[in-house]
Amino acid sequence: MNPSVRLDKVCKVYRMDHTQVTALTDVSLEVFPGEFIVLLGPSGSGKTTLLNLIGGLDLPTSGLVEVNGINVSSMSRSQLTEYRRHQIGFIFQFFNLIPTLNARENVEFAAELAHNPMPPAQLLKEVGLEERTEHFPGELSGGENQRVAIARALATDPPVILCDEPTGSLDFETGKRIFKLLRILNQARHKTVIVVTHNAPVGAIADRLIRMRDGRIVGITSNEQPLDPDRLEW
Amino acid sequence: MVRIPRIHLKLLRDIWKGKIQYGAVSFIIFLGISIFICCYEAYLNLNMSYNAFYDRLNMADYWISVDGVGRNAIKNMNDISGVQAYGRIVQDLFIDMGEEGGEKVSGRVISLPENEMLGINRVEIEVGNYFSRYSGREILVERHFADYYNLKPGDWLTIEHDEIKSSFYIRGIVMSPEYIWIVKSAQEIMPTPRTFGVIFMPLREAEKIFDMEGVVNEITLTVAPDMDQNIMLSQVRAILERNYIKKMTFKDDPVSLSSRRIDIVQGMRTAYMTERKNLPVVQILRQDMEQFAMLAFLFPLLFLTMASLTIYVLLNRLVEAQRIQIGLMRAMGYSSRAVMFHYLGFALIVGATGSFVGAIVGHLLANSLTEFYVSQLNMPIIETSLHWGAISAGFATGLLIPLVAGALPAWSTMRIQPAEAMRPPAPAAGNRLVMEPLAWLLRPFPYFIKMPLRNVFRNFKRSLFMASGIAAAIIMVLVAMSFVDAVDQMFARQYGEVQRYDAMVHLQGTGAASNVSLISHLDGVTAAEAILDLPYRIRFSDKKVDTGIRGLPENSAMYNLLTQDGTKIDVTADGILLPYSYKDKLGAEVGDTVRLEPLKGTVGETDKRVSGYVWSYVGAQAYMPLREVQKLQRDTGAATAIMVKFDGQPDPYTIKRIYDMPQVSSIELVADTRKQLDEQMGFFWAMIGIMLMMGTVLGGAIIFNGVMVNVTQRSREMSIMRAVGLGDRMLSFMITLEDILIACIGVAAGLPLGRWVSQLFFDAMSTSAEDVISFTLVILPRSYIIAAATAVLIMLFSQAPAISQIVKQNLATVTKEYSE
Repeated sequence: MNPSVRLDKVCKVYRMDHTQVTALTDVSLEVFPGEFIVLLGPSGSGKTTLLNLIGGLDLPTSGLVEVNGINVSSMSRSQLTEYRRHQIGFIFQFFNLIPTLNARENVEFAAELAHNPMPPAQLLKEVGLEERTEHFPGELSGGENQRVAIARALATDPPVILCDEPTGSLDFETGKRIFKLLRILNQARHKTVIVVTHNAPVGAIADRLIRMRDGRIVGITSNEQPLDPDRLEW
Repeated sequence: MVRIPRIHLKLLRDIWKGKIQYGAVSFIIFLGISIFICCYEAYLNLNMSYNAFYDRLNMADYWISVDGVGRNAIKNMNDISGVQAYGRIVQDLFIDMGEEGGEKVSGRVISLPENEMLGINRVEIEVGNYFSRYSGREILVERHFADYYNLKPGDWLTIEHDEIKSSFYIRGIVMSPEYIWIVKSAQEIMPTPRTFGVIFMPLREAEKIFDMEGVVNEITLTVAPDMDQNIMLSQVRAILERNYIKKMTFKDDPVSLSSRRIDIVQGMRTAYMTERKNLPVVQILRQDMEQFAMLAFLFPLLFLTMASLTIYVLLNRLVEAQRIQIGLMRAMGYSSRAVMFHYLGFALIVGATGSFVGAIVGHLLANSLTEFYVSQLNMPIIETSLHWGAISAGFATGLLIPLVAGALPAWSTMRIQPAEAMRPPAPAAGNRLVMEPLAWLLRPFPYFIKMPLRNVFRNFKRSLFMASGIAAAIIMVLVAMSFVDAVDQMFARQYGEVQRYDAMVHLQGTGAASNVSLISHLDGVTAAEAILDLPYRIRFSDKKVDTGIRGLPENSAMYNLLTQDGTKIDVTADGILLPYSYKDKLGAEVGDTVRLEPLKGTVGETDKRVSGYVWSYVGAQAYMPLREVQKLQRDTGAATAIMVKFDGQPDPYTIKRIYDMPQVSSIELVADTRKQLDEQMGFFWAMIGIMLMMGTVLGGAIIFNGVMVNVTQRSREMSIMRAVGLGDRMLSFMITLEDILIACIGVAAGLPLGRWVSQLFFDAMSTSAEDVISFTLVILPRSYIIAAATAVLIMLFSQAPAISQIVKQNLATVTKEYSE
């Protein structure tokens, strides 16, 4: 099976004035279609940088980033835009919804970019927000906001969903429900999902757990029997 | 139903969210564009209205004043292809208003053809009828005079010529294109209707009364637009020469019949030709019109500059505040160009809204302004039109300027990297402030003084933006106040220091200075002095001006000459004093020698040293000692007017006795002129009021935005201050103190800038005035104080909504969130 995401000896160095910070060093990784991956590591371990490189938000200093056979590492700005539009769905810790658009409009905001978008109403129903479609982000709870963000990430029907600390600003119960939803979407829609977290127990729900430290992958663990998110405890 | 793309919906919702701020900018653009379109369309409308009125009454292109020429000459001129000529009799005389409760006033009779539709410079009947077919003793009265004396068709009017009185039946009250504004001559641009009236009578009646059978003394010409003017002039000149008029002079004053005596004395028959554009009435109307054109550019320039600055600041703030949203859009796959255009959309909508409403309101106001202005002149024709050129130019400018201003902030979104944008913002850099070396000065002050002081310099660009709003308000107020001061000072100087006489007695033609002794011996007259006004051309190197030279008695007690700074200066035998407005026109310095060429007669050409420059506001003219001017004309007893000082209020009997003197043409009472001027100032004061109002609105809009940006950018910081226990009152005090400090910068910049902009206005006005009225910039200390105080007050009021927003903020929410 061809990998959905392939990273080969990826390095990322940030240069600021006279100093340089190495965020990633020789990272190689393969993620397969439909896999649910958790990237685990402490702050500054490079997990968000890795996610950004996969998502085409940033370019590696060296190495190869390939997603669904597309070489992302040598793309121009406009190619990256096009790539993000069709290949990637993002979910962020702080939801990043447009405050002046309501739930439905936020999903439509993304759907308008796709050639064959998913129906926003259906997506909102899938995330359990069919009753809240006309509410603005300010009128929704944290968990509801994140569910809108998930619906928005799915609107363009991307094969890969990248989640950066998706439950970082949510309470325990809400967080569990979000993971449950992500898992369902992963399985039902056969999406590749990569979740970044520093919350170790979350690794139990993944197909594979990738541990990072100081910009390197320090361990990969496969879960033969991933835990049901409902049974998560932290 | 049309579905708005969500990125556009976001734009509209964002604008709605900041509706007051964006509305304020839109309002500034609206003001700028509506003023531009209103004033420029009014300018075009007035031009059209005047031209339509001139066309309807077949106004002449040229006036040729002669002592007398036979009808044959007129016929010959009519034979020139493209030329229409009409000969008429124009004669100054007296109108006896004694029976009507007035006195003898100066009048002018102008002949008209028997047929209403013939001739040049026809009249428009306002009330009554044109001359009847067979009646001779009928006249038409010009409406200014008729209005003043309440003359109606059916009344009788007595005129006096060569001490013979004749009464005429008034057939109608009329308007004349030559007297839309009553101007007797270039020297007397504001005669009162009490002392000067124009009447029209049939040509054959005028021939009888003035004993000019078959002879006319003024030729009016219209010339086909495509005709070569030089060829026409040479042909006219040839015809005049065949009629023994050997010299033709171009001059500004077509109807001053006074100095013909000089021609006769000197044995040279001269024709004086005036083009329509040089007619004083046309010049005065054009001056007013050009002020509209000037307002159309200067004010909108100021408004749009401020609007662009505000948009620049607002969009910068927006881009800064929406970094995460920008990052999100980019992450989702919106192209950097789409994001840039999205932010440019803010400028586009703000500009389009302001321009669109401004164009409509400006156009409607232009029509109202034209109608109001034309109705003030009582002109029967009002031409208003939809000037697409002006409207499109205004709309396009209102659209383009915000786009240019918003381009930089919008462009900056292209540089924002999505990954970087979505990280929480790094703490603001702890730069050392410009004022830090002076920090020890602040040490004794408590924190609530120190902090506002530091804040001014913390984001100096933001402070400068607010200061610029205050400066803009000051500029507007100061420009308006400079007009008030200039008019005040103009009147105070002219009627308090320059003119010390109570009445100017005008003599018919060039009269005798000996009238002084006759007048000064009358009861109630304390003093009298003669003056002699002569038309002259002054040359210096290759430059020239056609003007008048006024001969004044040395050490005159009734006419003081002042320098620009108000110092008294007297005429000297060896020199000539020139008005300041000629300094640029001639380029002559004090001590240079100018050439004086008489515009009438053949003698009196000489060189004179420029002995100084003098201030004047009405009818710029040069000054020399009376006896020197008399010598130039070889007429030592000549005078054109007598200045009279009365002991208290002039006695009507004394006035009557002056009128009864044979050479007296009219008496201009200074008190009447002042009263008339005050009446005419109504429109001017209305304009000043509008300017002050606009200044307040402009300042308010900018300062409001400045304070809002200032406060909202720091809303979290302020909420934290509140959270740690700072009271609302103290916070308000700190914001106010900071704003006052910024206001000080605005005041410091605004006052000199306001003076500079006022100077621009005055320079532009004196250029358009062409010697009719010259304004001198004066700004009294009170105006600086009023301007500064107004701006500070506007600022204090404008900050109220921002402060209220801060104190209403939910502390828990604001202190928790890092994003919007």
